[in-house]
Amino acid sequence: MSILSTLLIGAQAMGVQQRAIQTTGHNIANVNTPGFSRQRVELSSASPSFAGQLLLGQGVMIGGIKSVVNGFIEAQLLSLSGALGFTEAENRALTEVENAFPVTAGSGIGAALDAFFGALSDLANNPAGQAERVNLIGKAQTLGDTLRQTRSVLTLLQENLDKDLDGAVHRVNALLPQIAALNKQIAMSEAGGERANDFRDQRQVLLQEIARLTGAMVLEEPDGQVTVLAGGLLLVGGDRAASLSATTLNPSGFRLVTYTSPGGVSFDATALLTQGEIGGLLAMRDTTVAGIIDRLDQLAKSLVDTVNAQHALGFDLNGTAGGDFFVPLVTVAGAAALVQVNSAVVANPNLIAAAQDAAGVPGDNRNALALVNLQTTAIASLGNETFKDYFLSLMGDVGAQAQASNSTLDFQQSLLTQTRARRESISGVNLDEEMTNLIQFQRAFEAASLLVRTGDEMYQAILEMVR
Amino acid sequence: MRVTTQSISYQVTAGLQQAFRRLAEVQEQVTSGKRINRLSDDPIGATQVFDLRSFAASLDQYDKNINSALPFLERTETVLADVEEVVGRAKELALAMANDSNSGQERSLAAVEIRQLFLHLLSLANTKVENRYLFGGFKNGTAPFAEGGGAVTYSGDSGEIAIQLDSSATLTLNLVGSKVFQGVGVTGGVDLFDVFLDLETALQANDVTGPEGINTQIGRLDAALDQILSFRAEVGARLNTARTAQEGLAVMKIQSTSLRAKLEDADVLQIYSDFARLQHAFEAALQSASQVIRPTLLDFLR
Repeated sequence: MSILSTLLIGAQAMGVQQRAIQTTGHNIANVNTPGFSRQRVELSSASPSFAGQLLLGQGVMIGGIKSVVNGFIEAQLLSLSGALGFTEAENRALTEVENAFPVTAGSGIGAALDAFFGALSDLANNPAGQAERVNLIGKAQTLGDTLRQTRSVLTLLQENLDKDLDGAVHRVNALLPQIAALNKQIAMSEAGGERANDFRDQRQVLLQEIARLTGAMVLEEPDGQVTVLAGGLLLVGGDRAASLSATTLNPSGFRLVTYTSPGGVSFDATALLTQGEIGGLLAMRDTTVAGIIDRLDQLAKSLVDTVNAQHALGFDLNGTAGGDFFVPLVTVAGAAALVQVNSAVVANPNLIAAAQDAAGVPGDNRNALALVNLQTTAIASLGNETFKDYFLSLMGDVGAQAQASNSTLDFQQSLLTQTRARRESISGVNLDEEMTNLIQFQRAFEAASLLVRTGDEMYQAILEMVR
Repeated sequence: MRVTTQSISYQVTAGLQQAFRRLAEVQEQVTSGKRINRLSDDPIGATQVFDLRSFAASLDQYDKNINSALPFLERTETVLADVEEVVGRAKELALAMANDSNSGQERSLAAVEIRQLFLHLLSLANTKVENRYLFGGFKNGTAPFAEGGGAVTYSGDSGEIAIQLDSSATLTLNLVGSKVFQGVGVTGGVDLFDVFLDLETALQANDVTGPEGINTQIGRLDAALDQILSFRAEVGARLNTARTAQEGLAVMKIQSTSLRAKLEDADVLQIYSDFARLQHAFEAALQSASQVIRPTLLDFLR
């Protein structure tokens, strides 16, 4: 029709190609941005216009800028992050627990138990021997020290888990308002019908982090905002965020997690947060590690009670009835930290009651033998297991749990890596592809500029004709 | 599948990490020489290793128990051999003196020798090993036999000291002095000291055929010899038991050690070849990663 429309098509095409180049540039610039989804300019031809019988094309226009996202994979990434958050917390703790029970020969509680009963046996061989008595006290103290050290590694681990919990709660509190703010921006930006691609990408990264911390579930509302729920608690609803705090302590001195809803209602939500890193930290601190400490305490209490009871049946080198060999323990709780040889016995090894009969001193070794036999006696308070077997089954459980957690962690990590790779394969930026697009759009831009020049030359030709 | 810059980088990182982790695991086995380096490597194997270690410790303890008992038993054996000799010598002397051709003077000289033999017997009965009197029962801190008022009294008791041979069996360490030397509780038992003192008296009194005479004492000396011999046999049997048990312990020790090694120790050839293989794999992964990551279209556009 008119030369003017040729000029317009050229100018419009230059603008569109330039937008496309800009989007390509945006993609290239964000090649390493976590969570970024590549964007694509949707091009379509402009509505044609009639020129007599002919339908003439009117050039190009932008249909929209879409980001390439697969909702299913994004949802899968969220749930995998939650599961992995739990397992990672669990695995870190179990690795520490495992280190408290070394497998090297001659170390740990098992070896200390063997050495203690060995020293008792030596005493039975020579009940009047000073060296044997002093050695027995030393071995009993080593056993107490080993129990105490093992327990302190575990309680230190509990304290560290408690600190980690505090850190995780702080991170949750930092994330929630950001998600709420992005919710608001997305709802505003998308009110006009355009997708807020970059805000959504940013929010998705934050959602993955909150899922990792709490195992949160994410529901998208029609207006583009998301509702975030964890353990039935509303963390984010629209542009309003809840908050957590970990300042209240339970009777054992560990942090409770208090939830404050967006409306300001707050209550103890420790029992509700069972997933994600926070769930893992709580489960380890309050159940697994606490359970192992309990079993260690039970072992220590039974040992002290049983040895003291048998010791009291005997007579010492002075022919006096045996007193306490270990300092007696009142409660099971904390027992493993308190196994100590009675200070009177330490000061005077002759108070060790090796004899069964006051008249049999010094050669009577029957009570010493009875003490040795405790090694192979089933102890009622240990579920009718011997000291050694009770300890071995504790170790076996620790090992089995650590092993299971290692393989779960491996599995979940490789699943997450695969899913991330799939996400990247769909949404990620391929530089070669962008370079190709860049050349393509650049050539189109050049051609469109040539179109403008051609229009210009056509005008010139007409003007020359008139002159 | 579409491949992107980040998906390649994920893949390369994950692949390298995995290869490096395997390498580190095998490296740990190479340095420690152990297949099990922490409980989770093999929880069941690890507890079995602990059990076997504890078993080996108890075998060592039983061995130690026996070693502590052996000097005591061996000394008891030699003392009884000496006692046998002393009693034998006394019998020879008594037989010689029972002969009518001996004069009263000769018999009183023999009485002096019997006195010497008696003192020797008393010192044998009070033998001790490392501060423990062999024949005092539990009360082995003081000498069990003492002479006073023309008789020997026993101040020990009838305690029998047990030594643990294994988890269920014990071995009695000592012989009770009152049984061995005074025949207390022994059927037809004889008090050796009494016989020696009576013999001394008979010799001094030049009494051969009287009710307390030399001939009577010869009969009692025979009974005494039998008594000592039977106790000597008992000690011999105990020594035998102890030595047999010790041999058994040595065999069990070897068995349990080899069983533990099988569970715990790394197969050296296997891990060295694993190590070499994984090292190659790791290098190959590094090299291929460097080839995949480096070139882009940009390298070919200029």
